[in-house]
Amino acid sequence: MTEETRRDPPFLSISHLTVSFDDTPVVGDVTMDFQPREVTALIGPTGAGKTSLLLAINRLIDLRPGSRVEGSIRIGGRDAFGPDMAPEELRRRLSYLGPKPICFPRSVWDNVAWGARVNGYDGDYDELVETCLRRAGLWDEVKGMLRRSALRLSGGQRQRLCLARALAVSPDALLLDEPTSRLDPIATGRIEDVIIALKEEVGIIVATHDHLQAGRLAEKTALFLPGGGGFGELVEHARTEVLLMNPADKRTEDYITGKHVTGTRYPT
Amino acid sequence: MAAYRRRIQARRRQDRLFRIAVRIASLIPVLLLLVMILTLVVRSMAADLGSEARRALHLTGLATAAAGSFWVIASGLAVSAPIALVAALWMAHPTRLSRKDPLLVGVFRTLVRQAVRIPNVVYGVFALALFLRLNALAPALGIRNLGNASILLGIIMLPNLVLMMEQELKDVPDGIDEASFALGASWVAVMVRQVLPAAAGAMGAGILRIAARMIGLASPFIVLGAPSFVSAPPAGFGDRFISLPVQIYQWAVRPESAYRGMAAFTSLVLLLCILLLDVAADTWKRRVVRRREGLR
Repeated sequence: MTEETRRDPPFLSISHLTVSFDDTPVVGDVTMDFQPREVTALIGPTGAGKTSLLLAINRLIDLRPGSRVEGSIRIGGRDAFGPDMAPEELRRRLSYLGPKPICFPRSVWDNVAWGARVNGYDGDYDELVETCLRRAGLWDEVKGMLRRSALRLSGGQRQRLCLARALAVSPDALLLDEPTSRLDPIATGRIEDVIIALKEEVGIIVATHDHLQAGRLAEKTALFLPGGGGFGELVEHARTEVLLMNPADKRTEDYITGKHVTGTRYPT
Repeated sequence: MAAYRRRIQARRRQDRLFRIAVRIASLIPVLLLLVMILTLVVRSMAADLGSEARRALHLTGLATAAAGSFWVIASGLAVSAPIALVAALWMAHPTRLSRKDPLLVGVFRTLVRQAVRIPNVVYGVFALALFLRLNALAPALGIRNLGNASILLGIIMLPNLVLMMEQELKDVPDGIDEASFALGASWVAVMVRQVLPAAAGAMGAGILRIAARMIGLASPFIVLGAPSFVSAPPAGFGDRFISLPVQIYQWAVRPESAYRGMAAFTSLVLLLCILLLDVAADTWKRRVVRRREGLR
């Protein structure tokens, strides 16, 4: 353990986490810690269980029929599965954003304010909306149309609106699932700028199949690959430059250099 | 080559014949409606309504029936719409995320569908029995009044409303559920503060459409013992009342030409009301959906 870990206790610890659907594991035996004030990237191919892991962390997966989560998750020292942690609180503190930017069929202003309102925020809503939109880098584009429908925004703007909406419930961390997979390079660049600006305030876990994006964004990177058991496994979790430039595991090197990966359908 | 061309021409002929047949078939119901409207117009023009005073009296009868129809439908909706809404929320909420019905919801929906198919006369008989019993307990309640008729109509509309509202709740795009949960919302917050507002407009249009279907309803009120002569619109739920179709029925069975003419004219008014409600419902629904999909 380095000095760094002693200075910053992890805000989120996962140990021996296994997620299964209908008794078939999709990601198995994951143990990792997440530090505040840094971006952690989860990389790996489709089907390696990145999304399932993110959904399991804040128990959104409970809403999907047939799902089961084993192992333990501790957030800020508290047991995430304990009786004193309501799933609603967990989901507010670890706010999840899916790959498809889903705006509520309401105004831009209402989109940002909605989450804060259901969580009983009692401050000045106009101020909150403006602050969150500024932090998400969207304020200048939408300040003249706060009362117009959010469904008029473009894909990249919608994704930033979703970011602003997540920030409005003052989460401990944002769980971003392929936040740019549907965006063009310019919109992607904007989102990445916002992520880098936000990491001082909230923890950020971003799942991406693009390891170059991990290189641009993340201090730490974790690689997930489908293992021999047919479910995703954590292969390596290290500082990003180490994982990308000088990986400890042979499979990491193969994945990053685009070679054959054990357990996939590609021939040897 | 020539054989091929002949086959193509034969197919073209078939196409043309088919298109003509379809057009004729689709015109038949429209023609029937036009003939009916024309007959009603001719009948109402031909009727001799008598003196100015008698004419005014007849028109009062029409207005009274129109007011009666309005009040019975409005208060019937006030009775059953809230109940239907709660039932629809209960039915729709587990289905929205999982796309699968729990067994209980499936059974409930089947039962509600059966309730829609029960003939309205049967509801009338049922309500008559119910109100007779209640009246035996408290004679002041009466039977043939607006309040009872509203309850009866509410019962008839209830299954229609439940199915319509459940469908509208399910038609709201389902991504917003997970997005709302991800912000720390509870089930109640997601359904009541996200899905319900998104479905509310379409539900309003659905209510108009159901109201349009109920305007023409006469049989259950006749079973309940609809009064034959009512001179003023109802002022309270204990008052006797008459609705448009019942008024038509009462006028149509009388031999005098004036009454027959009024029956025809009232039928025209009834048709016009249904048409207006339906067009309003369609326009409203289309606008709501366009706005929800972000096209406007």
